[in-house]
Amino acid sequence: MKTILVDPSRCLQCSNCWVACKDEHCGNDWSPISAPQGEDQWWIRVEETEVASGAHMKLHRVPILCQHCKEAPCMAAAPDAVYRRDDGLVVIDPKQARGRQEIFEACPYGVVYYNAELDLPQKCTGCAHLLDAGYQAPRCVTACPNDALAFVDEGDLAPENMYAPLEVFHPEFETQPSVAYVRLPRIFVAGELATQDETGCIEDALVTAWHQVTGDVYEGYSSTFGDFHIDVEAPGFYSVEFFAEGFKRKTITDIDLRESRSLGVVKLWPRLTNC
Amino acid sequence: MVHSEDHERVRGKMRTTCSTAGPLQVSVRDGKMIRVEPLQFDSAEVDSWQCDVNGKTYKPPLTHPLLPWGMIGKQMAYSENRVMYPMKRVDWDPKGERNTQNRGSSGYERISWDEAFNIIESEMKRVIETYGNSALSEFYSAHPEWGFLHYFFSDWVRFWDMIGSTHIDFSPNSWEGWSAGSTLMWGHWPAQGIPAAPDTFFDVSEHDDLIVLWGVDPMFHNLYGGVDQARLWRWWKELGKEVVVIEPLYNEVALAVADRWIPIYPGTDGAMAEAIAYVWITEGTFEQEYLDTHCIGFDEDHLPEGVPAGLSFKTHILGKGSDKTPKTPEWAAEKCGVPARIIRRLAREWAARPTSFWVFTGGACRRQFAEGFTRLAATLGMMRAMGKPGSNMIGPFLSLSGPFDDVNQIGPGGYADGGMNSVCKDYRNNSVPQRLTFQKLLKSVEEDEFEYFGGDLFNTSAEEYFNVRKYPTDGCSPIRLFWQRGSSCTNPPDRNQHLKFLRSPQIEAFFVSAPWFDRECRMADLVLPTTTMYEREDFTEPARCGKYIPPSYVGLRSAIYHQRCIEPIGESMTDMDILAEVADRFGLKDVYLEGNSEEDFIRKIYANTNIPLSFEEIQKKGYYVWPAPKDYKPNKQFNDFYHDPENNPMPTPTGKVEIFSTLAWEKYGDHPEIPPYPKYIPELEGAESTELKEKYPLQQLLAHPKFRFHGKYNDCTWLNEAYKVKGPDGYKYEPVLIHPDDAADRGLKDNDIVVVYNDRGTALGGAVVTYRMKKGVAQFTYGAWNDPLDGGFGAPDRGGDGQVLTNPSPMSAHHPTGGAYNSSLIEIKKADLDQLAKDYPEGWSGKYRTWNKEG
Repeated sequence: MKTILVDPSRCLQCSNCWVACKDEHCGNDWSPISAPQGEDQWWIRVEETEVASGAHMKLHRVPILCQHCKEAPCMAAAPDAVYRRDDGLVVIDPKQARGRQEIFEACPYGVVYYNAELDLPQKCTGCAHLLDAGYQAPRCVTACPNDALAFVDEGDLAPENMYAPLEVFHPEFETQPSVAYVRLPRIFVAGELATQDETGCIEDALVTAWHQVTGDVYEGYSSTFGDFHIDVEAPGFYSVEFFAEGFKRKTITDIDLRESRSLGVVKLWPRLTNC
Repeated sequence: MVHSEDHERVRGKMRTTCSTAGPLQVSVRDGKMIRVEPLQFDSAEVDSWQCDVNGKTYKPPLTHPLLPWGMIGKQMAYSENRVMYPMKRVDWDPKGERNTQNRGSSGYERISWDEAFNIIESEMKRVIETYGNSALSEFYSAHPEWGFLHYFFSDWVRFWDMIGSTHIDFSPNSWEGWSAGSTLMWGHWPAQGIPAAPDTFFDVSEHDDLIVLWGVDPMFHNLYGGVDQARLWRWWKELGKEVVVIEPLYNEVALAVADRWIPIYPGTDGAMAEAIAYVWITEGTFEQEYLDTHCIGFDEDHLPEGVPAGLSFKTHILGKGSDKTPKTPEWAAEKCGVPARIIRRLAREWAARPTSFWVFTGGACRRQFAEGFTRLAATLGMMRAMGKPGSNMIGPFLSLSGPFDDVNQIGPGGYADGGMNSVCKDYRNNSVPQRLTFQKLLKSVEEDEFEYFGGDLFNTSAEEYFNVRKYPTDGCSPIRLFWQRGSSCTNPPDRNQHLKFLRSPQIEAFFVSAPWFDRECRMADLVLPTTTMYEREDFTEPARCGKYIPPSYVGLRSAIYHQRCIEPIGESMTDMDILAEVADRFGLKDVYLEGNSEEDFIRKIYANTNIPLSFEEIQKKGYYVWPAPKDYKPNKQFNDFYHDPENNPMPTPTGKVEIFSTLAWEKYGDHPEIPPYPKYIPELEGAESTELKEKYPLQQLLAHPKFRFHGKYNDCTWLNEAYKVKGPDGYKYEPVLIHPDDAADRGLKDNDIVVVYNDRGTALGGAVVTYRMKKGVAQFTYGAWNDPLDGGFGAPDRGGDGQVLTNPSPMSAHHPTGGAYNSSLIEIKKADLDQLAKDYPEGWSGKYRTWNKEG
């Protein structure tokens, strides 16, 4: 069985995935797989979130589509109108699902849309009609210019084959998605290190962040211009320590990393070598 | 398991074509397009090139990565905004009142093609008889549908040169500062100041360690090549290259791959460049020997004979010249807003590591005194011994390509290579000597006569650049009839002034031929429907502009047969067929077409290629991919000059790179706006304009729109629903990117509808509050379809075209045609939509919007 592997770190928000999807489904009736896609539906969309501040801000871009869950809430809500194909794709039957609001309401990912004109819940079909007709991949995958989307064998999604650890998008929903993710955005702390008089950049400083409750530690080094960017796993309050040869050690405590944060310019005092 | 059963029905019939976003395969069923995809090559038929560096390999993808508008064909071909049939403005009577003042406000009526041709014929003949051929004029959008046969360098220039008319020129407005500035240093007049960069792809991949992008964003703005660099940048990152981006906006390539974004105030780039030179000079980390042998004017020892002491670049940088100011990083930091430590660090890294310098074209060159920055940037290139392995200068587009040898890969060529003219027997040259730059159109109806110099897009030499043009040229008439191919004249600055020209009674007839009704169509007296590339046959190379510039995309080199996907929409015709009919009415059809049909032309064009398929085979298959050239030997940019400057001189008066420009010295002496050596000059309207900034404190940034091809596809809902800001009135407003501090100062929050204004104009937009902007700068870009609430007399443009605010001033005394476009100060405030609706009831209901045919 094949599924889609999503790598948000590669997403450029170029629009090609959602435009390909709309091109395939708007104005085209692919019954019995899908009726024409309604207006303002995004069977695949890119959610953009701006985090942190200043020159160390990031735009997190996450492609979001039907997760083709193994424990699909939409199927549970309407077992007679939503089914899973042998190839794993979850499909809303456009005939049986007419008027079934509960299918639209069941999805915790918000990827089922309601077509008021057709009175029909609709979502990504994984381009099942194209795969049946011999296409090698869904339209969004083919259109992606940067491999943020890939169509892969589920069997190949073993940790030893992967360039990054596999992740589940919103594991708390407990729906066992088939769609897999790697490199989902993390909360981070970032900034740049400079000398106390701000005349010099401090490169190769060891930057250590630790969770003030769990003690989990994350490390990194400052780069050419003194920039540092440390991803952490859990939200919470952190302490960050800066250590660079020739400079006094500095620790900043109680950094609120319930969301990503930039510390701006962090200045270090030189250590006097002669005393 | 439910399967869709009728696979033939699902697949449809496959056709091929090529767009400005890249090559396409189109599924057609029952005469309608059902699907548009990127063209996908079969690995079995492709003998791909590749590049191996440190055990890592780059291979171009089999599926061509498209730009955002690549797959919107269905929405656009069948758009309600198509021009469906010829239309005439209701109150334009070629036999009576012309009501030119009503252009932009009155509506249109359908007329037949026969009526349209009769009007065209009688108007052209009347104008010729009354004023002479020079009163006819023609202009074209530089951003039409992709084509070779069907392109303005083919059908359009052939027709008008044959008829005889005043040619309206473009300036090279994508890189105007280079064309005006760096030409003084290294010549390259035919390439408008941008030296070709063959094989830079290999040089960067193999030799560079640091990549500096200055005011450029190649990820989405590499022109026609699609998003073909995305995987390449990833590969470069895997090879360990560090990427630094200097830009007022945290741009797309920076978001994707940069190690450092350096925000800078627009127009102060020259100050930062001078400070980098200062660090290199004071620390002795530049290539002195190269400068001694390849350049003139870097230091006092290498000034041309007879030039007074104190005019060398080094003297200026060290503060030993007339301004007595050393150009230290601290000095520059005050001006450009980049901390001195960052400037110093960048300079040191750049000096220590092989560095690729991406700076050609870009926003920093479309400004007042931009010659200063382009010459400074080129001087930095010289100080790094440009041509040495790893030392290169390129731009976001027209710069980077895979191997191309021009011997084994002969296709039709690029759009600038002539189209039908490349296979016709004869060409009639224009009998009218008069030409006019598009930047002087308003002047042409306001002043009886004037003079200017500064060349144009077809400039080939310094002589042509300095050649003074008189308007009207002796023996010629002012223009009276203006025919534009395409709905947008490529975004002239200060749009309301351009509209003033278009409303002038001196322009007795204004025709537009275009596939979509938008922008300037709304001003036309006659609108003629033309086809899109889905509705005609052609034969092109993706991303190939012309022989004047090397091929420019890092994909598999291919040629595409445009199989007609659908029949022409409505009564649309190709430009060639329209012009052939007009030619016929002048008894010139055989001169124009030489008896060829569309297919005859394509057959002849095809016969000039080296593609080893029969014409019938390529016609059926739709494309050809050239195998990788064998034993390819890269010969990178400036390689020959680097090794042997004596035998490979630059096209300059001295044969050297003239850091001290002998041309500028001869013509201007030590002129404050165009000194003989490169120098940062603060703009009259810019970061250092303290007085004007009290009124308009923000700098406008005019980077290319990500989801439009300049002014095209503004109406595509698949795209605009994702990027426009929906107001409380449901209208989709053009985004205005503003820094959180600037927004807070003005009480603005995300999605507020705002008024953006200066003395030149006013437009509405939707606030996008983001740290992607440098504080003090707001991005409000161009190309949104205008919706002026009063028809274009100064009331707000609800559509939000940033060009109503931009600067039409000259770049400098050296470039008086214009070119200060982006030097624009603005202010932003929250819009009162209810009040605007009350003040402009007709405009608010859509009367003047440029996609309203009814009036």
